[in-house]
Amino acid sequence: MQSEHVFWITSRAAGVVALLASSAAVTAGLLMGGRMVRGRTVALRTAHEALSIAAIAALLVHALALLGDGYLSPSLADVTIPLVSGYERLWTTTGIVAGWLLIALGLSYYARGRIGPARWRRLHRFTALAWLLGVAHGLFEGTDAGAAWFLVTAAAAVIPACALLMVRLAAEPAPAPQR
Amino acid sequence: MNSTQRDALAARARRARLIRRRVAAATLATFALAWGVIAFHGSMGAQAATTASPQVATTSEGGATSSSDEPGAVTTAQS
Repeated sequence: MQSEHVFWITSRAAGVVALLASSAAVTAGLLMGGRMVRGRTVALRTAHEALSIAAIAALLVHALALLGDGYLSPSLADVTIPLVSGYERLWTTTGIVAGWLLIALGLSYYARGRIGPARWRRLHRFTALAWLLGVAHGLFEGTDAGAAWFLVTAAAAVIPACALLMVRLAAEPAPAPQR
Repeated sequence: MNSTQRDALAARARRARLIRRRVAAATLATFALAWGVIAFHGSMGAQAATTASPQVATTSEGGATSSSDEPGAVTTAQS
């Protein structure tokens, strides 16, 4: 291992943590929202919030550590603004959009009083979409996406969340027909 | 607020603190583990590694043989 790879490895490790923490946060959120676990709502809500903050912190490390990488040497705009970086443009943009959405939707929890609880709840549903974009970014652009350890770990975190998401979507009442 | 309610609230706050600490510890442990796995087993991604490999050219001219070693750069891109 060479010292010039430190930022590169740090970014990748933080990306793995962001994927796992966001998947666990989505799982906890869906369990809570779907009322699938009774009597543990407070514990689930605390875990959901803590995991979301951990995911946001990992996302920031994932993006900012890249700035120190001597090989890619991206600018701040490359890692924060969609379509600026020429490196794997589609999946980099997917990751940036997912990252901003996860940060904005996650932190909107602390402004839900101002947003309004009902509107915030509707807004919060888009977190699942942002998370799916993040998963796609990790699977299609991630350097470790071909490694067995990554695929097994990611599957263990992503599959339960996907299953719960499908259960939730299936249980959603169909919108009333409009006249 | 009576003392029973206060105790219940304090117990709930303690449980919440414990969960937050566990999540923070698990996050840091996962980061350290992922770092180690990537550093010691992972490829370095799209890093270009330049290695020198000698190219040997041999020419024969009127019975005399000369050879020259020229370092050639081989660039590999790992994925």
